[in-house]
Amino acid sequence: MAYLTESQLRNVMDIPIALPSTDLHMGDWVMLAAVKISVPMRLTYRVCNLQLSACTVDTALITAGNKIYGNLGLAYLTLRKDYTSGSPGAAGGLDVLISNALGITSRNPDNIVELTTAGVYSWIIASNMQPSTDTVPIIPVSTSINFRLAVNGTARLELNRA
Amino acid sequence: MNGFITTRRYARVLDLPISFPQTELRAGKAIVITQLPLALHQRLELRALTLVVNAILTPGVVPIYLNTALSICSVGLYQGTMLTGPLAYTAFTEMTSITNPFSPCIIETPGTYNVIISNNTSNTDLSLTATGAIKLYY
Repeated sequence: MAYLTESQLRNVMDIPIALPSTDLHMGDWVMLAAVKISVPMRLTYRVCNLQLSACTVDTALITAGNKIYGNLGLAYLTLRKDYTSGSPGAAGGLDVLISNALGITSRNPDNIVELTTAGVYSWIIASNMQPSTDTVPIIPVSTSINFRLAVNGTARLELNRA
Repeated sequence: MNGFITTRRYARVLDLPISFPQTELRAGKAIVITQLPLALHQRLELRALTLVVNAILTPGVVPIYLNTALSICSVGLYQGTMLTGPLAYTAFTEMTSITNPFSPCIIETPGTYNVIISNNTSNTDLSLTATGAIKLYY
């Protein structure tokens, strides 16, 4: 645990993972941030907050049949490597921050993700909602379950991890 | 540059965000992502700026470039708002492009600096994401 020098500090920068309050439609997703790293860089992801401030329906009425993935809550922020297209909730995500209710969901900063493998790392916010697959849907299938949400976080990029 | 950092010194080094979540950028349009006035005795360093082309929203067309040096789209640091002579930039060469982090752009001249993302075609709409940070010493 060496002391920090001026030259080492130059090699460290905090990359934003930020989305101002935005309406996200049912089943949609948006890429918030992307960082391309190569040897000898290191990316450290610790802190992120996801805020769901509004929903077009009463969230108490949302059932398992409204969810695309049963384990990803209402909306989720996922970190993926070399993402190009396809559902961001599919297997292979490196980290996920799940929101199950309106309000702020914070990532546990003690759960550190350190990345040193060369590639492009992307943060994607996605709505986990779909028209209900229940036989008797509580929310009509013609109703779009949209969220107003915001994301605020940071990832530390070290250009020379040595 | 190899001296140890004191807490007082550390408090005067900031990372300013450059954040442009996935957004549709129409043909020929440019958006200022970040604007920073730099004063005397301040220093700005730009090292990492990543540009992602999420999608080409006008399929089946041959892009007509407005400025060939800036490729289909680009993001860069400019003095002023004109898309001429970026101080540092990265342009579309593959789906994800990045400025060279080991060749930093260091600026000490006072002025107003802008990070601008631009669609450099006259006929192709794009979906773009840009992410980076500016290190500010003051």
